[in-house]
Amino acid sequence: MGSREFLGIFTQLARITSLTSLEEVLQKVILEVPELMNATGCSVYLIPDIIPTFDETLIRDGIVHNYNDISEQLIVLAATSKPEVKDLVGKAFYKSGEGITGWVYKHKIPLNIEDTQNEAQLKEIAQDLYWSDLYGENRPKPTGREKVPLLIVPLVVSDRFLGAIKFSNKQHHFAFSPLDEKIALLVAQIVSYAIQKVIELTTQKTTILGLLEIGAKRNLEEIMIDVSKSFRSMLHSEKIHIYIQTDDTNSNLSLWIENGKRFQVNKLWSRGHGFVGWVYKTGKPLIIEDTRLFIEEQELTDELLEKITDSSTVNAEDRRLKRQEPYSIPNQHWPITFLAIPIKQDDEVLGVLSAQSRYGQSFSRTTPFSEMDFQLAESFARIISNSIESDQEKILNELLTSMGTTSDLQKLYSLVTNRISKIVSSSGCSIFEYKKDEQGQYLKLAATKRKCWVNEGEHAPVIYRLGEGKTGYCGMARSTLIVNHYGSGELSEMNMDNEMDKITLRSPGNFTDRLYDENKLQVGIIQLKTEKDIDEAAVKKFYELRKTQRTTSQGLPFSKEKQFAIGEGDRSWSFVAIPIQDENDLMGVITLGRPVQQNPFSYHDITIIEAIAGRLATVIGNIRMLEQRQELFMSLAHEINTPLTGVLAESENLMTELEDQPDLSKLARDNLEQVLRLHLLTETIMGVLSNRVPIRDFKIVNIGDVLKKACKLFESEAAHKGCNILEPRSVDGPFPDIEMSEFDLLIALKNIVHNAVKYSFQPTPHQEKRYVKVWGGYADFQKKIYKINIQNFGVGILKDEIENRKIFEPYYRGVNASDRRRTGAGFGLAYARRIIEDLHWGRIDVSSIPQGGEAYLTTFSIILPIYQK
Amino acid sequence: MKNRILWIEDEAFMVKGLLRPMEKIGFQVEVAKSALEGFQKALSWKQYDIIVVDLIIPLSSDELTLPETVRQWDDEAYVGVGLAKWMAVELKVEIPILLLSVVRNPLMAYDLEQFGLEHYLSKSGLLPSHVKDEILRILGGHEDE
Repeated sequence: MGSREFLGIFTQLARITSLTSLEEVLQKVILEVPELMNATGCSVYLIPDIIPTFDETLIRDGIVHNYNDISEQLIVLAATSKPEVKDLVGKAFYKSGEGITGWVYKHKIPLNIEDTQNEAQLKEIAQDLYWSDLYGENRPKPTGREKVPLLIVPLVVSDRFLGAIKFSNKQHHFAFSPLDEKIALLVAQIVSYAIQKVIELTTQKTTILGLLEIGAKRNLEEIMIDVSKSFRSMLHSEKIHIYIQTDDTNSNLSLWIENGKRFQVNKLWSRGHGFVGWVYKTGKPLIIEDTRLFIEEQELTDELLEKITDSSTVNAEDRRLKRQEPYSIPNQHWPITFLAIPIKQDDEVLGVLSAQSRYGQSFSRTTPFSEMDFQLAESFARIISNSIESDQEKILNELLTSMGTTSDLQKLYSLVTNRISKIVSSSGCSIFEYKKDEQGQYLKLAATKRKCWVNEGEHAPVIYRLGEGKTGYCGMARSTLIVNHYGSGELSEMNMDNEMDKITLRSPGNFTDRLYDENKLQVGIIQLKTEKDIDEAAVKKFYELRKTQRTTSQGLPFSKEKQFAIGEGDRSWSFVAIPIQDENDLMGVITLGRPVQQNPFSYHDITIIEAIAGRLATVIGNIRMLEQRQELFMSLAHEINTPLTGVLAESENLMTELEDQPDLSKLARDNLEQVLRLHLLTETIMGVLSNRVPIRDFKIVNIGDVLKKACKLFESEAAHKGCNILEPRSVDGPFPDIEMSEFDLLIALKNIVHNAVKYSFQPTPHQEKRYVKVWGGYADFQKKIYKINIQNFGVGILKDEIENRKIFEPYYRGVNASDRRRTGAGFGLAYARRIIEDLHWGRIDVSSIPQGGEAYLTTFSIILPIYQK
Repeated sequence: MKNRILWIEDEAFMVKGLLRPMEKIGFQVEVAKSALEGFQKALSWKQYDIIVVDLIIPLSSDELTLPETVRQWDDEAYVGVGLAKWMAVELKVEIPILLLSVVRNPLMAYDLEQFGLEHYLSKSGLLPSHVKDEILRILGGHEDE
């Protein structure tokens, strides 16, 4: 081949480097290069690590493999169009050293075989022989008539191995010559650069897209997934992990994201355990060039760590754990480079972002993580940290909003104690209620994350008289209290209190004198609301002392050494107690605790808890006011009930005694119905206001009889309105007997039937007559569930009111129903729901279908189990 | 049949209509307005066919002069619960006792069935016809008996 021909060929081939997609490059290679080599077959093998858009799940031998399982293998990514070769694309894998291709992959040296067809053992031999051996005296000699020569050259850029090109079946069965081999190496060089270029281009695009995506995301988990993907492609890292503290495992990190996917198994790292645990413990980044030097992760000693984390002005060299014996890499293991960055908020470590990758001769990553990688990692950690903060703000806002809509103390306490740890990391949260009795004032434990004692009478699991224990002290001083306890051994509530006594909290004027007592217990009081209990001079001394001491962001003195005094059997805790008060009206105390090694509560934490405590005070005040009103209503309803029973009795007596005078008897009947409705109203009001499920009083009663009683009460009102109530009917034979609390179910059904009558339209002379229909039937084949339907034609219920079950909430009045023609208080359906669902384990639903104009066909469906068991 | 009912009810003047159908069929209703009065009248329980007891009643109008037995009923959830239990357990009355109260299902709430107290009517929405039906059912007879 002359130099002019070479020039032409390479000018043509050089165009490959101007292409912008991997697919285009590979297509051009398999179409044009075989001709250049006088070969009929050509395949391109690449390692999946370098392919940015590579599908992470591949099928090999009919088995789905994860990307990680095949990342160190070659995959046939393009091949000439012979069916048997083409079929291999994306399916044939060769491990380093496995097969002829794998051999080239392992040694990065070209392989030229004269005839593979007649040397079946070549495949095995090639694994162990070097090229020189093959061309030496032991060079295998072709024996068959049709020779199949083979030439494989590696694709390499600098030290980075990308894959291999295989040429086969040279025309006329000639063996590939040394010149062919040289041409192939040149071709491979150009192709390698072309591939490298498109990979970098694609990586850049992917990274930019990934970053733009992160900016557009609002959900914390989505952001973490995107960060993980972008970070991985930028670092050419095999594994990216994001570990986050979870509310239930405050001293541990949970592995949250792995390589852009939510990690399903809850893997935990405790402080100080493993590389990640060390970063979690110290809050300092860690780069390890070669983790093989620390095969047992525990070997990362304090002393060693000190070298890389102690200085506040760490430079890249200090931070790095150097290889002790550079490049003496044992054959059986590849070196792993490791990088971990704390995800921090103020001084608090909330998680760890880590990357790890093998590197060396054969892998895509050829160097340990660099200073640039470290800076990238820090930026990504900041993105996650900000996202966590905005996520916390979101949860806080949701909590504050939800608190405002809660009208039940039990629900309120449960909401706060359960959600607060998602905002301020803590092991637990307790709410104490402020009470008074003959002996004086006290704080009673009302709720923890697991249990609420509000509706369990006066039984109190824990009581602190004011000034007793840390909680009592907080209540007395009306101030926020932070206690950081550094000690060993089990720390119980009681011995914490004893410690508090020791530092004379009963006479707080002296507390500063013992502030540093034995370095064991340290107390800080911030934001004093009333200082009358504290000696002014002592407070002044406390603040002066604070200035001279090393302090944290919240101004509390404690030493860094103690802060990180993690040892075996350590039980150091940080505790915060904040009064729940509305101006000077103390309502209770909210307390939170967490291990000190997780960092004591910060000023930011205190601000958040105080905001929640403030909101708690307002909502508790509103609930108490509502309860007072409810008690007033209840007492009024009880007052009305006795005379009402008398009037009811006299009405029925009158009706019976006047039977022989039809006009008067009818008047008495109407009167009786009115009084019965009044009775229904008082029962419903009392039921809703008492805020409890009625007492269970179950008997077997025929549901048809109950429905008839419910309808009978409103017959005359319905007839007067022109929307008669049709006789209840059962579509599945006779009405069944159902286990029920008849008294309560009757109230529920009466309320629903009354609504059907009340919200029916009066027919105009031109309209056909409409009815209130009541019917029932079994809802299942086993006849264990019965369904009752009550239907009317009239005022509709909005979709939103149905979907969000607003119409079943106490005090809620339907948008369409709230006009001056139809009065109501929003009690009937709320109480009916409670009776049907909470007392009878049934279900009430409603549908409202427009019928043209303002009219709707509204159907209430009540599902009841035949037997309660 | 003595056709006499003892009704222990402090607000009988307001709800007297509840037992009027019984009077209409020939029963004489004797009212005791407090637990003390009920205690005194119940001692001669043999004069009555049935005793109807409201659970929420005062001990007496003059609590200073109460016998110890009556005073103890103040420790019960309701005074009427103490009275009913005393009648069933201590006095061992051999006539039925019907509890009539706004308290929902006191039999279940205070486990009164174990003392032989097995009849009750909820006052809420109660009609005289129901009271009559229930008393006659308990007495196991009819108007003409």
